[in-house]
Amino acid sequence: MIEMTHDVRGDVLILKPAKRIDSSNAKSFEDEANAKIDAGPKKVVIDFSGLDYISSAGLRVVLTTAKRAKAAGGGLALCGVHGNVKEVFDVSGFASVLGMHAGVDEAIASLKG
Amino acid sequence: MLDASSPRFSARPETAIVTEADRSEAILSRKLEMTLGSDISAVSSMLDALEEFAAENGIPPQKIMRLNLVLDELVTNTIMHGFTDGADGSIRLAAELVDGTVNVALIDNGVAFNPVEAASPERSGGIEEREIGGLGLKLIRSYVKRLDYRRDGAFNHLHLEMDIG
Repeated sequence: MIEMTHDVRGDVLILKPAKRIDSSNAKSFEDEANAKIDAGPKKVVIDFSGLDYISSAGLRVVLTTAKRAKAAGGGLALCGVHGNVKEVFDVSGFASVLGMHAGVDEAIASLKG
Repeated sequence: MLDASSPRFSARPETAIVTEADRSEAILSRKLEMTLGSDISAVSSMLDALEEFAAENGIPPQKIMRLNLVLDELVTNTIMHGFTDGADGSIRLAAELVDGTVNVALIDNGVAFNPVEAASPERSGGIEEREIGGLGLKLIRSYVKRLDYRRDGAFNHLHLEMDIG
């Protein structure tokens, strides 16, 4: 199971996964993120500051979360991508596709308007 | 490769190493062997074991991540696509450190699949359309120094080499 905390700030859902998103827990991340998007805010920030590892299965669920949020009329922004996780985002080409921001405040601001 | 290429281990039959390792921490810490089942939860167990193995051997965090990622992608692919329903799948992992390099053997009894010859993902195809299996292969190829495949009877044999110094 994914270790994840969440917070709602105004009309923005903030998801903060911890430790790893790999093939064994990617599905639980996706299920939890989808359920929260369906039930609440459609604007979503994923805060990666507590994440140490992501695999292609993890990248895939980040992408499906982005699609889900967008289809619901919201959007997705990322923040706190660092170290090993940033390297995987860069090498995979995801860094140039998804909105990446330094902190939660910047990520929230990018979803306004 | 795992046994023959290393002077340190060449004198010993591979099956005896684990037993001998009980008497020698140095050998125990430089070699990791485990058997993984065909449930996806095996990936998490493998990553835990690899992190412990890497930490014991002073491998830098970035190199640990790259080793984890490569083996995660390969094993995940085998578990997701290599075993048909009801098949008794298993994957044998052996990793050995030799002079700043890690040599890894992965042997599974799944359907034949050669990741060395599998098609590369299309960079121009747009990331949303890119096949995720292709993304995993792209990550693997970014990090391995060498990746060899052979099919031997009912088994896939993968040998890979990565710099970890």
